[in-house]
Amino acid sequence: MNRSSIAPSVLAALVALTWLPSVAAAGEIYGKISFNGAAVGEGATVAARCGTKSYPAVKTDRTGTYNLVVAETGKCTLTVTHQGKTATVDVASYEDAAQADIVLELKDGQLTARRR
Amino acid sequence: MKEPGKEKDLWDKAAILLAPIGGLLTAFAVAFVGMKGSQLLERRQSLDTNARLYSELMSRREEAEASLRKDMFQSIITSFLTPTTDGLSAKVLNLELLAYNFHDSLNLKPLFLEVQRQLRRSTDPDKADYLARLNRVAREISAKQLFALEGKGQSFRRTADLEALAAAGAAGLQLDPETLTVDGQTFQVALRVLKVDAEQQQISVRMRVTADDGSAALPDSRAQFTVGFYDFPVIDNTRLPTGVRCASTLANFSTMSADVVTVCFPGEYASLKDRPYYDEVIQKLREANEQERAAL
Repeated sequence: MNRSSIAPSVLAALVALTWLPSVAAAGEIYGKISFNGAAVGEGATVAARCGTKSYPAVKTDRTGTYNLVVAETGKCTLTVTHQGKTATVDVASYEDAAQADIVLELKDGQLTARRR
Repeated sequence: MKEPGKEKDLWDKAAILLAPIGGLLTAFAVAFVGMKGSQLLERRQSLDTNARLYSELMSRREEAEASLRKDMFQSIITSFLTPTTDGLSAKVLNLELLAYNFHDSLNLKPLFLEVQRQLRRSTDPDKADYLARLNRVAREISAKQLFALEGKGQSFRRTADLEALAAAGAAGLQLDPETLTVDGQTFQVALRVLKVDAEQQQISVRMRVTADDGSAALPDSRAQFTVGFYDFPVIDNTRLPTGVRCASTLANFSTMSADVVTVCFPGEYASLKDRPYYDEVIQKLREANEQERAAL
């Protein structure tokens, strides 16, 4: 194996080594979303932003439950989209899983979200 | 009365025929009622016997289990109360055994905190693992208790921003209140985080409970306590004037934030050590009687 073929492998290994600890420390944020006193079912999506990193939206399941895995621990903002409207709520991510149940409400036509 | 020599009409003939049949039917009816009554009594006796047998079996099982638990408890608690050369590993294992087996009848927080202090002072290379084990067992038990209590009551979670708390100073940090309905009573629960003990992973909070409609049945109640991983809601809770219990425990902790779970539930789901007040018992009996009367 020549030097040029080894270099990318070493680089990949180094990247993996630096990336793995952050994955190991990754936290899960999960919970149930309800609207008007009932679970939203499959009709909502939840995206997260932790620090400068954004995480793509995940769909809720038929019970209105979402699961997000984020690499960072600390403050995160969840953006919930339901019936074409969005609302945000602040949560914290930890090394262990954190439960964040969310209650959606319509106030003056605006969707608001709060922790439950 | 029939005159002698007068020919018998149809009714007379019918009377002659029906009289013994009537007697026979009466005898059948009496026999039938007797048989049915006897069957009913037998069935009731059988049900009573079954119920008695079941309660005897249950009570014997309870006795055997209580005896086993007593022996187990004595042998484990002795290891903490007498000076021994047991290592930290044995202490952590004993505490795990105690916690898993007696978490709903004993407040183990002081023991958890003591073992935690010993671990922090220790130079054992495995102390980080032991601390993690302590926290894991506490969180598992809290989660199990919360799961059971949330089915009977209501709960909410809040994140306390510890950086904002440090900036707020002695005034503390007010967390968003939540309106809960438990046992037909609606009330608002608000938490104010006052300080944090990062070393023991505890926060000091003041809980305020107010009636949603300002009713006099539930006057404003305030309680101040510390909340950590070793607060188990079934055993460590605050009794509201209406008999409902509210408890807070820590779900997550980091240097930046702490997640607090608060659950309120009917008093009958509190631990065995938490005896109800006599007026609460009488009130419950009255309610049960009223419900029975309304059902009739």
